[in-house]
Amino acid sequence: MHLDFPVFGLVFSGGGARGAYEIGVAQYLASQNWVPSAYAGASIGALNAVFLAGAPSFQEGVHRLEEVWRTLKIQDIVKMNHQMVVLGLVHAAVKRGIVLHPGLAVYDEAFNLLASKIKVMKDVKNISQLITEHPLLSKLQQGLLDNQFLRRLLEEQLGIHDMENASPIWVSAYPSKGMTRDIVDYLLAGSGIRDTNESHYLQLNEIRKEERLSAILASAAIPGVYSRQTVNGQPYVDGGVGGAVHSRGNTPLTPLVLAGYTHCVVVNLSDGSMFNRHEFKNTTIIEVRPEQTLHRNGLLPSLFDFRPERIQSLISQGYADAKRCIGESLTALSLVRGGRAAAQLKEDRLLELKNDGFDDAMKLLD
Amino acid sequence: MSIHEREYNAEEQEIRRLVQSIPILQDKMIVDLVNGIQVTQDHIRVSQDRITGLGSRIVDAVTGKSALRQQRIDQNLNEGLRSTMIWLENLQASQIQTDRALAYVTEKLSETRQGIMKLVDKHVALKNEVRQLTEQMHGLEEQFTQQSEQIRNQLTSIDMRQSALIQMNQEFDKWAGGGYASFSPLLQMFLVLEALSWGPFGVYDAVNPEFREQLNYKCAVLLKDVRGIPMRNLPTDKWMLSLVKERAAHKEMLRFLLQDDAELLASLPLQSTMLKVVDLEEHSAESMRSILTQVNVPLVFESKRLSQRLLMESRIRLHRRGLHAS
Repeated sequence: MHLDFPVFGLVFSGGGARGAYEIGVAQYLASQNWVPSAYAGASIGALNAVFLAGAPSFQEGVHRLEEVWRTLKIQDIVKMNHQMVVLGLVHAAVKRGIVLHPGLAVYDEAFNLLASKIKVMKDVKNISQLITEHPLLSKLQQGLLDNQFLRRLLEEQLGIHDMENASPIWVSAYPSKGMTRDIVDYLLAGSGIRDTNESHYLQLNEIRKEERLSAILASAAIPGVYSRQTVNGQPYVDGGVGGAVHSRGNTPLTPLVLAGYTHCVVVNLSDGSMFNRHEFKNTTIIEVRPEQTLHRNGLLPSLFDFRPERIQSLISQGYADAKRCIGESLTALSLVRGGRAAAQLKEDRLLELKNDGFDDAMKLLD
Repeated sequence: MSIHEREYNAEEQEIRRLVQSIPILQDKMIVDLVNGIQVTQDHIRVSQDRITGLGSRIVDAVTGKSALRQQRIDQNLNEGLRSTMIWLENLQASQIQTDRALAYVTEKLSETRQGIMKLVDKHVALKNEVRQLTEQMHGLEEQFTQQSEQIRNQLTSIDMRQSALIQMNQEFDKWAGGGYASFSPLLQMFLVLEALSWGPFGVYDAVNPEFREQLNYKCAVLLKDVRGIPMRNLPTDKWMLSLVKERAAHKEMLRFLLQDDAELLASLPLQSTMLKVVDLEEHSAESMRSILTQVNVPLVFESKRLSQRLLMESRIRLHRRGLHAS
């Protein structure tokens, strides 16, 4: 516990594979024994936050989270560039369309035939598979099909059945208006024409056990790529879609502020995030932002780059940036507090000096 | 209150008013300043990256991202500068308070030093007074000791004098009352003088012979009035021979009193003569004259003179024996 930051909330933004960066931040906090009292997360940030909030201790949670990330097994990607990821996304959307319209299956078969002959088409297919089979989410999706795995993951690692006793945790999810509308709204916000609506902030501790997993999946459900998830009868998609212009949904500080947390650490997962700290007038916010780019190969590829070496690099980067951003802020606070304490000590000693009766005693010499 | 003090108090009030008017430096302002710089650095870095490509410049311009990012930078800088201003104001106020506290402490230190100087002066003066008092005390002590000694000596002297006078009166009363009646008259006087020499009278007489003359006269008067012995022309052989007739025990007593070594007896002619007379076997004037021719003793005494001689020789004898300090 830090004297100037005794109780604080931790906000994890969404950012796909860049979520490994948040492990580094958590590792730094754990190394200083600064334990968050509440969590909020969007998308991958929501998953990370759930691991930490449900763990027996913060240190244990950080350890488990790192282990989960390090055991992700992905295919070796040949070309992970912007164009290939866009093509992969298109392919994934088509595949998703096939699920809704089985008549289009003939196109998929044709694509598979081309992919077996042309290397570029094979790479697009691989990327599409990686996108649709988000390594972390796929673990959960596999769990849906495998009762034994699901039970172990939920009970032992996520502790999702015991959220009543976990730290308060919110995940952001965007109330879906349908896949097409969601995508159009997001594109309009990205074009600066019209911002999306605010995401909803679902407190996992207070929703029904059987809907908690849906809420977590909803927070990371990229529109057009993953299925919508229904919680309390409301369909939801990725929380990062809401308030897109100012990253309010993707960096969900709002629920912590509304819950009364006046001190928060906010972890941004993109270069030059538009999250605006000045919207929260009464909250002391320490933002952890990257000193070096997080989008080394472009914004989209970085979302799906789960290679072990990249994960390790992001963890280290997160740790260093947390040390820089949090450390410098708390050092400044400690200095000011020390100055105030010294000033008070000075005042106390002056008062003692004024009232020590020395003047009266000196008059006795006259 | 002096004009200077009034001016100082007015200045103090003005500074207090200024300090109170400064906004409190909140933790949020500090964090917004320090962390705001890091946020701004992030935006500036992205801006620099985006500005290099024509496509990204156009996209950012069209979507308004570049303007929004610039607005974030401006807002951070503005808030940061505002925090800096408040921080500086607080620091300045703190410095003013510290400087004034330092001035106050310096003033107090100066007063304390002056007080210590005053204390040193007082101490030195007190030390001198104590030294003088000590010297006076020593003088008084010495004076008191001397006076005390003097008074004690006086008291001792008075006591001795009183004892001497009392003993003299007692001995003469005893003599006059017939206390020595069994002895011959002149031996009675010898015994009285011997008792006085041995007693308090002898002690006092060694220090102050004021009663010696009186004693001699008293002896002469008593011999004449009570024993009928004339004051003048008292033949030595006549009163000496009366010793021969003394009883044997009296003679033995006389020998015990007078017997001494030869050297001493040589300086006591009268008493050595008395010893010789006591040893005579018969009352013979011839033998008496024979003895008197051998010693330096006057043939005729006045009774007063005789008492003087007997007392003097008695004192010499006692002194030789270390019994009296003259």
